[in-house]
This record gives sequence, C-alpha cells and structure tokens, in this order.
Amino acid sequence: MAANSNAHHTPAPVGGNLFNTTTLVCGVLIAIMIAVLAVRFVFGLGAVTNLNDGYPWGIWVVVDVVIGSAFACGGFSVAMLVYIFNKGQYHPLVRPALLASLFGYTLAGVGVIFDLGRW
Amino acid sequence: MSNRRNFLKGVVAAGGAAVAATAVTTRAEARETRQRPPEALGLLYDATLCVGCKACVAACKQVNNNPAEFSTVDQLWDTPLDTSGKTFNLIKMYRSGTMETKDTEENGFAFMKTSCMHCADPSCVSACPVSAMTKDPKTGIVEYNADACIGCRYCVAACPFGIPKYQYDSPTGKIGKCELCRHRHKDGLYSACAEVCPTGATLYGKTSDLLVEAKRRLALKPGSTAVFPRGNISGGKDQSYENVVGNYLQHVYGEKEYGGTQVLKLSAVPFQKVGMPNLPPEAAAAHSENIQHALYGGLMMPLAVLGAMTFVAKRNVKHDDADGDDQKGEN
Repeated sequence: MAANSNAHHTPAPVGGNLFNTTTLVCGVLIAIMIAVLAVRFVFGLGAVTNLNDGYPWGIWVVVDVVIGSAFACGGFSVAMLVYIFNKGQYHPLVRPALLASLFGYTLAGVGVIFDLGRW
Repeated sequence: MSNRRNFLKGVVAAGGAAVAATAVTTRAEARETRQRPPEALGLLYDATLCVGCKACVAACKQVNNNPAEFSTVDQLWDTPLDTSGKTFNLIKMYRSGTMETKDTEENGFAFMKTSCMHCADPSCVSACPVSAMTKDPKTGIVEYNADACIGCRYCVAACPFGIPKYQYDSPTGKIGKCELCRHRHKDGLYSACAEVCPTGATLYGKTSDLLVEAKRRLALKPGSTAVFPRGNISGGKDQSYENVVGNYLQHVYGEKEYGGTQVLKLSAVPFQKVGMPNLPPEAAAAHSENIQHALYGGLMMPLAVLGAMTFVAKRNVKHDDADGDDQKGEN
C-alpha cells in the first residue's frame, strides 16, 4: 500500500444546483411526512398507522429502529475496519459512512419520538 | 503472520472466556420468579356462577369514567368486543354447537371475565422502560402512572394476557387497564365489579382468602347446594347465599401460572378454550431479566468487548516513523 493511502483528501464543494431531482423527490417525501404527522397529532396514532392492541408496534418501529440502526451500523463497521483493524486502504469510505451513520441514528431517534404515543 | 493469527485467536478466546465467566457468575445469583406479597389483593372469578349480566362491565365503566364503546350500527348500548384503552373489564362468551347447556364444552356455552390478572411477577412492569407500570409492594396491585408513561406500548406487547391497552385515537393516548379500583380504596370501597356482581361470580378480597375459597369450591360435590359469599370476602357485611355447585375443572387458574396471579379463576370449560393462555409457573420477566442482567451485569460484557477491541487496535497500529521489518509487512 502507498504510504499516503490513508491521508485525508482536501475538502471541496460538491457544486451543482441545490434543486435537483434528488432534493425535489426528498422534498415531496418530507411534505408527505409533515402531512402524516399533522394527522397523527390531531387524531392519534391509530389514524395514520393502523396500529391496534393486537399489533401495538408496526412499520414506524421498523423504520425507527431497524432501518435507522442499520444505516447507523454501516458507518461504525467501516470505522472499525479502518481504525481497529487498521485497513487504511478503506479510509476514503469513512467520512461518507459516518455521515450516513449520523443520518441513521438521527432518523432512528427522531422517528421513535413521533412513534411514542404519549406527548 | 502465524504468530499474529495465534495471538488474535487468543484474544478472541480470552474475550469469550471473560463473557462466559461473567454470565456464569451472574447466573448464580439469578432472580427467581417473584411470588405474591402476603397481603396481596385480588379477585376470584367463578365462571359457573356467572350469569353474563355484565353488571361488572357497566360498573367498571362508571367508576373509571370510561365512555361507552359501540360495535353495533344503532349505537344504543355499550358493546365493546374486547378490552381496550377505555374498557378495562369485559365478560366474554364461549359458544359451541347448539349452545344448549351452560358450562359445557360440547354444544354448550360459558362466560369468562377478561381483566388484569395482577401477576405476582408482571411482564408489563418488567418491560416498562420508565417505571410507569409498577407493582405495589403491599397490595400487589399492578398500577399505572399516566404522568410517567411515554406511550411506547411495550407493556401492550409484553403482557401474556393482552391486558394493557393503548388509546390509539388520541395524540396523547394513555394505557388503560384494571387497577383493582385502587382509587376507591381510600373511601373504604373495593373493586366495583365485585361490589355489583349479583351472584358472587366476581369476588373481591385477599388472594390468600380467595385461594382458600376456590379450593373449598373444588372440593364440593357438583350439583349439590352450597353457600357462596358475595362482594368482599375479606371484610364487610355477609352477603352469602345458596346456589348449586358447578361442575368445576380441578384447577385454580392463577394459583401457579406465572408464579401466581392475584386474580384467580374457576371454570367448567378448559381454560384455553375460554381464552386463558396456558402458562408455565415461571414468569417470562424472570427469564428475560436473567438473560439481560447476565449480559450487562456490572457492564462486564461491554467492557470485555471494549478491551478485546482495544487490544486488536493496539496490535494493528503501525506508526509512520516505524522502521525495519514492519515496513515490509503483509499489510
């Protein structure tokens, strides 16, 4: 391996227009989420999740805990690979992976707050 | 190379041994299934005495300030189909074939009360992450504190009887369950369901007294006439009356189930057929807490894993200024 393989790359702006297909699609999804949460905060969890006492936990828990934690796990696995097992050749993956982890745990933490039923 | 492999194997083995040792030592002090407190309060429900009048359902609604719930188109009467966040007590019916005779498994019918069993070792209390569900150390009543509750519905998922229910139609829904009318105790009153029961099918009292009464009934000759108490068996005025002894199964449901429950039940139809689950004498809460406390007791497992990982990291670190053989290493 080259001696500088684990050196940081120089930070640089990504560039491009802020309003592209990705951000617009995400914007529509966020708008839907806000509408769903508005209904949840007026009519309760049952109105938007179809939960009942037979199924007290549903797809919201899947999104909070299972998907959010799984996203977060990726970053820590890569960080462990690089920093614990010292595989420096994967170092360029660390920063995007840890950013994804941050989003994953934020998604899990914020998501579970809306799933908690007693505000 | 081979040295490192052996070393890593050693680290893994040491870590595993540390975890195993922790598990063994903690398991040695594992907690048993908890038993009922000596002054435990409860109910005795005798399905053979129940006439299905549902006075207890109406009284429960009234004293707990719960609204009616409708399952019919005309919406004339309170007709809940199951317990809910606003229905803490319900009489359900078992039906078979022609439904000719009461308390018969084939071509018969039977009633069963559905409400909190007030377990000696409740799963809901064990599962609750914020101690909103607690068990009173003296009366043993499984109590709910809405101010502490965060609405995670863990108790709903944990209960083997399906008793704690959440109010899904409110943004600030509470958990609803029977608390044995503990809010009426300070006025000298007891559980409303037992107070109004016309046949003594639901009887209130200390669970120890109720267990003696249940055993007495099981020893009676089916079809003969006997005296049955009503209301509160552990105090209050005598309201006993004569009735025909039912054809009991020789089983007090709740005597042993889950380490014992404070609500006991008698039936002539097998309990699994009238909606009572077949439960072992060990509570699931004891089992799950033992596993979790074995893994995390004294933070030993996390510390062992952290130690192993630190060791691996230390072993894999190569300093930039290191010379010699390491520079030509396989990495």
